[in-house]
Amino acid sequence: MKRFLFLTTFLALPAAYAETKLELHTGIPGGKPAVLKGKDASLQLVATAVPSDKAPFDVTRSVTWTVEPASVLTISKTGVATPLTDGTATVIATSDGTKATATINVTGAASWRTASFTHEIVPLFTKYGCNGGGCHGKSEGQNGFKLSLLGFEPGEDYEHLVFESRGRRLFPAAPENSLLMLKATGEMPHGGGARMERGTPDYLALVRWMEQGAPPGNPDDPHPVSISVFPPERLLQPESTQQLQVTAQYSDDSFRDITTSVQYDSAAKDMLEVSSTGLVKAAKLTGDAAVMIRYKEMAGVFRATIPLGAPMGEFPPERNFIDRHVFAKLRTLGLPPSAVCDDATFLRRVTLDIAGRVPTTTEAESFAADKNPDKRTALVDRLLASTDYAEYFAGKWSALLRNKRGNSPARTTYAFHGWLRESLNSNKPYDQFVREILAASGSISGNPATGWYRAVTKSQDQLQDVAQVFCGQRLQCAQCHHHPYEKWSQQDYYGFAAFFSTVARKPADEPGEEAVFNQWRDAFALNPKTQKNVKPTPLGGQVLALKPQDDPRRSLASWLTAPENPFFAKMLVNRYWKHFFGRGLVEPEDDMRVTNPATNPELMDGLAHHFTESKFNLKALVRSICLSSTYQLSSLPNEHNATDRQNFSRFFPRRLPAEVLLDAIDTVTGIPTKFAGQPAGARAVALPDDSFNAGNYFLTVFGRPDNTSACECERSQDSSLAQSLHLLNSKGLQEKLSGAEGRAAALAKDKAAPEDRIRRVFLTLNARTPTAEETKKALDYVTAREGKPAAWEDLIWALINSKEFLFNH
Amino acid sequence: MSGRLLLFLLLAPAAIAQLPTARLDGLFPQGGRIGSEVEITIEGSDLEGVKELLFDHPGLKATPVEGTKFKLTIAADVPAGLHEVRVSGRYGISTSAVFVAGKLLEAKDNGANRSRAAAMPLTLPVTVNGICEADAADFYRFTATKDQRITVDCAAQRIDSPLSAVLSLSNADGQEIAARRISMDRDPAFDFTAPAEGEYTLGIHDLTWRGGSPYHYRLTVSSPQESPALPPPLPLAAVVTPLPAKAAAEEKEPNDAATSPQNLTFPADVAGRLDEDWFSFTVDKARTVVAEVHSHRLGEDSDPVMVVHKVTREAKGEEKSSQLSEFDDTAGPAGAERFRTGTRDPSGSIACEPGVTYRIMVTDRFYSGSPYRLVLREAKPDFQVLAMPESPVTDGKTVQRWTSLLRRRGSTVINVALLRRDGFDEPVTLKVSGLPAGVSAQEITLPSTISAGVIILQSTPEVKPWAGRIQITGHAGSLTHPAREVTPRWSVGDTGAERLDMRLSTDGFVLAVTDAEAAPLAVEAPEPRVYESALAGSIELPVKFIRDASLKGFKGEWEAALSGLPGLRQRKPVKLSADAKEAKLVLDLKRKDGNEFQPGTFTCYVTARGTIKWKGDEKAKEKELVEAAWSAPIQIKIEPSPVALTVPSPAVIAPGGKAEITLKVERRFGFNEAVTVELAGPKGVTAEKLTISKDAKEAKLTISAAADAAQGTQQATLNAKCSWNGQEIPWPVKFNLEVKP
Repeated sequence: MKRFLFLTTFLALPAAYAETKLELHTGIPGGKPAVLKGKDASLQLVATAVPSDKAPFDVTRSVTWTVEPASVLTISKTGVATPLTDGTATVIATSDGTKATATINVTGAASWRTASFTHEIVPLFTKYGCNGGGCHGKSEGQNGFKLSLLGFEPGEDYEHLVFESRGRRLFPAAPENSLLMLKATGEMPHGGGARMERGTPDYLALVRWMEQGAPPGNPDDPHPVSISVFPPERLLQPESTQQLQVTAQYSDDSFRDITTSVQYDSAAKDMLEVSSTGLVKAAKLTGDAAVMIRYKEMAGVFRATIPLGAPMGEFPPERNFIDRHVFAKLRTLGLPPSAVCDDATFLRRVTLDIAGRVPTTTEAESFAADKNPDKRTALVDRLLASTDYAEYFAGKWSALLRNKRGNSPARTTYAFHGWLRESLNSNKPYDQFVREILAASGSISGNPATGWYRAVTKSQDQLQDVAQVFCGQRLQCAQCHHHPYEKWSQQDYYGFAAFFSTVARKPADEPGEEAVFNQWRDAFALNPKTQKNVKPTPLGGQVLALKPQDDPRRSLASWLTAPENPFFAKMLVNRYWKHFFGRGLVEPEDDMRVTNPATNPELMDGLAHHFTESKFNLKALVRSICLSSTYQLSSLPNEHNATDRQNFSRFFPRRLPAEVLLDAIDTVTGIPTKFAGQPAGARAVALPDDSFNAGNYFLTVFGRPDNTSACECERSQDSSLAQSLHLLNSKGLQEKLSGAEGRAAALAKDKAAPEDRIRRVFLTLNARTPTAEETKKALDYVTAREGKPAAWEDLIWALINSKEFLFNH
Repeated sequence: MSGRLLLFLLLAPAAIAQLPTARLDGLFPQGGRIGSEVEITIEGSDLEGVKELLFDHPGLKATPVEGTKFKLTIAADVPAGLHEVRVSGRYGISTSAVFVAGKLLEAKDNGANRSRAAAMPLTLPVTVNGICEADAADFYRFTATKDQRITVDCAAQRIDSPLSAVLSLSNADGQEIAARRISMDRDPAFDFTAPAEGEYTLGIHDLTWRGGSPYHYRLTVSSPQESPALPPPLPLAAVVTPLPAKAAAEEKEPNDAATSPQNLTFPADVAGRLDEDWFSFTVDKARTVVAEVHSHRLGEDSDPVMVVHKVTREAKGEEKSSQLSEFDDTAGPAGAERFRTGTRDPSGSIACEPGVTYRIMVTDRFYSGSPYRLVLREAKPDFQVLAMPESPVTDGKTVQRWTSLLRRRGSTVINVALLRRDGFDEPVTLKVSGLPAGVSAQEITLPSTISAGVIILQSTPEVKPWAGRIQITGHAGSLTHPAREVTPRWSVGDTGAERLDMRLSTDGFVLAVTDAEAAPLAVEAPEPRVYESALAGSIELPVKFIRDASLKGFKGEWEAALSGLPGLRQRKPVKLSADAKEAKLVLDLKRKDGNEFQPGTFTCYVTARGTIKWKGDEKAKEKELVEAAWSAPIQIKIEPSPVALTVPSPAVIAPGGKAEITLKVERRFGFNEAVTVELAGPKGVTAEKLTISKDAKEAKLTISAAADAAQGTQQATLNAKCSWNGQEIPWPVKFNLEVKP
């Protein structure tokens, strides 16, 4: 602990070192002078100390600010410059003899600028939460006053504010007495309470706008086209601060400081707090955290890493790029990883994760006996080559791609599941896999990849599923209004919807089946807001020029699977990362926004690059993950990483999924579950669709999904009392334990020494041999009941109900 | 062969109530090696008393062993491939089943091979005959040397098995190295080269794990040279429009743009693969050219579409291409959908002018890349007749494999589909010949707009036993074609859920007649004449029922209904009491309940249907069976309206003048309401709307001609309208109008 205190003190005062530089950030790129235009202009400056050997840190509030000539502008202790007279001044920040300067031009200092309603007034409603979904931004408004959600329809807002109710909300002759201001300050009863104080800059900005006659603004006014946040990321010591600066670039190429106009939200309030002026305060907790910054339809993010600073000790071997990125992050955080797990744990872990089953007794014995130093690599390769891998992952994709039976004939879901299984078994490149699904035409019988179109029939669901499953973009919000946390507008939504506008169906050869095809016509979707047709447009891309006979879905598939697509590879690697670690680099794994950054962006980029470079080789991705030391870390925490969930400093145990657990119980009890219409011995993980859930309480209670959504969150991994009771004393489990053909009965009849039988029980259930203590306890128990199957039933029952069995650890 | 059948039936023991009809669903094994002897078991229903198997080749001879087992000799001269077999027993001559004469050694599924560990060993090359059981897979193992090329071919649907076979090949480590689980329209097959020397395991099961006796397969594991060359289970649409085995020309790339079409010489037959292919052709004289694509009907999961362009030259010599037509799917005849003759392949006629270039673009809506043939030929209007015996339990959902068996005073139906080709729209008369004494079938005529009908065979109470072949022929002008028999590959309980697949039987229609039992029910049609009314009117048809007193009787109610009339979509059965002897069935010609009658002369019939209690013999358990009877065809004539309006033709009028036309009004079928008429054209000739009051037998319509009305004789239409039985009936009355000074 002493060492830790010393380190933080040391880090807090690096400016004392001569090699520390001071940098002054104005938000203007290219070293050009900053501009303060108008009496109400302001500019947040950020001073940063940059030690040569340590991470940079914020010194905005500790430097000494001077201005030359002082008559041009003034600067506050918090680094905010405001104009005095027109002219050019140099701002100097000084700290321990180190200086940094910036030039600022002041123009129009004598007069107030005319505020733009759209670009300056509406963002205030967002900043103060007036137009949020819980207040006036609701579709029906609040107490008779409606604002568009998050200000995405400023024209409507202007109408409602200025003209509705005979203009009673504004009082330009005495703006302070306007209903708007009296409500906003709480001087009149207001359901939302007092949102702002008299005299604050934002209050005055509203008042001035009314004094100027509440102008609607000119459509040709320069408008903001992008925002940038400085700094975008920082290593923050616990309990330190960081001043943010947010700048908007306008359509006329000018820049304006909007630090006090944006809305800040901390994604982890227990780690980071943020003020309305952009001052971030780190708490004592360590790890990664982000502040989301929203301005009109634009969003930005500030990411902070708060290091623990624990002694690093020796790291496990760096086996590949995954370890390089993870360990680098852990070193930055000062968060030492756990050691690499033992062979038995690895065997069980990787067999469960790749093949969806527990290792067999033989596998456990032979892996333990194997002296080959590369046996872990050989194991991963063997599992990936096995059909079990394809079966397990086909189940995963079957749920995501909504292979739901419904009223369809069984052959439709069976065929699609079979196609998924074969695609995975043959390691079909992921881009080809997606292209075949997305641009699928024909009948399920002839082309089972059309199974996704069988299940997802509305173009609205098709576009939303594709955006979510393959791009990690949740577009649902943009169907009715601009996406609140992303850049997607309704235009983007319907431009994406247009890709599916020509999907048509006709009866297929098999009864109850429809064939999917592209109807020859111009592809478009109607934007209900503009009442104009939108042509197919990739997310963030340009409108495509397609001929009536072109299949827009093929164009979409080409765009989506191109190596340069910004979403495609990242979404998949994040999804697979979550499969193996229980947590995505982005969480939820399919909600990849600027404002929801990855906990380790370098790792995310590295995985995506590796995946793209491998030509979208899924098995190669799984191999890289499973062969990394990161994946092989023990789940046992050291003294520092017990609470770490997002930096992967140890393996985080997780309950076995419903099907895997059922199969595991079937294996260890020796009594397989019979599924109607499936061959004897069929594994639960290999079931082709959701229709087996209804007849199997185990699968339901442990959360097997019903394949109704494109989100993996449909699978419940929660624990419940019902689950515990089911494992403890359900009839089904008892029958498996006591079955005449079961393992317990066989063990009771077995003539081998009880120690040997106990050893085999542990190998079968936990893929390891028992400890001496475990052997003794088990021996005492079974020898007291020698020859009775119940003794072995009890032993298996007890082990099944242990966390070691129920969890992948 | 009919003599042999006749002899057998005459010798058949006196049977008890013979409601069942012999149905052969398959044999096991369903094939054998040429030049060998094999024991086979027949599978199906109502196969009691079967002593003889009737193959389509004299080299296939079976002798009874015991029960349903027979010893089959396959002579050395039996051609390899598919053969048909029927059985003859107490309940008639069965439907035909398929038997394969093979060249390789044969083996039989040992029944104990339900796991990989218990896989049955095979020595290659071999054909294994097996049956997939429900919820189970069969496994076979064989060894292969490194780089040995092996083909695996699973015949299932080709041998009338409903099995949707899934094949999976695993190596010695249990890793699946090849799988075919996606072919459901066709039988799966694959060709692989062994990556290493060792043992390989082949698994086979139904896609949805169905199984049981009809789920047969013949699995051939061999070298490519030894593979069986069974024809694919082609849809009927392909069988009825056969192509030469090899096309006259091949597609030549690049032909994927309108600017680089492949030139064809008319007539043409070109083979290609579906992407976007352009062809051009010209004709030497004015011709109607038929363009057809064959792909989906060849068993491909494709959806070809064809676009035809006409290329002309502008005055300056610039090329101008205009789209003439787009041809897509080809529907089968309306009302005969269960014959499955529709196809996603396009075909259409092009009226071609000499010296003009036409371009055809062929592409696939499914992007399947499947093979196809494009045929350009001269239009030759013609027809084909397909026919299928139908079981009494047939309804909208059920289709059974069935055969024609008549008892005394019995009736049975054969469904007919008329395939009209190249715009052939003549009426076609269907006749049945070769019938024994005491069996009759009225000829029926399908009008030009109708392509589905039924033939009803009826027997007298005094009929004598008989078995043999009968002939059904279609006649239209100078054209005469024999009908071809269609057989469902397997019976289907619900056509909404299970695929119905059809094939042709090659050995002709069979009929068996027995005098051992009377049919439980007969329907007597009303007196033969043409029964008439108009749209919105009704026709009353008195019918009589005769029941066999020896039967225990019908269970509860039974019913009778009119069927077979085109446009009659909503059958409204009349419930009959158990002892009903007669009923009056009313044919309501209103356009309601989905019924869409058209004027014309048609045929319909009366069906009676009920559940009867029946015991096979005294010791047998009583069963409830559905039984049906059909009346002889009834002629129905539907007039477009209950009013006959007569207009003098030509009516004469002078330009700029007026004229009075006298309309004669004849009301029929009890109609006595007002009628309105409005004149439509020709240009410049007008008339006020005229209402002809009820009872009026004559009316005068005043028409006016403009001074500049075109002179000469032209066709005019009086749009007449009346209301009858609450329904508006519009109809046109055409006449000639002469405008002259």
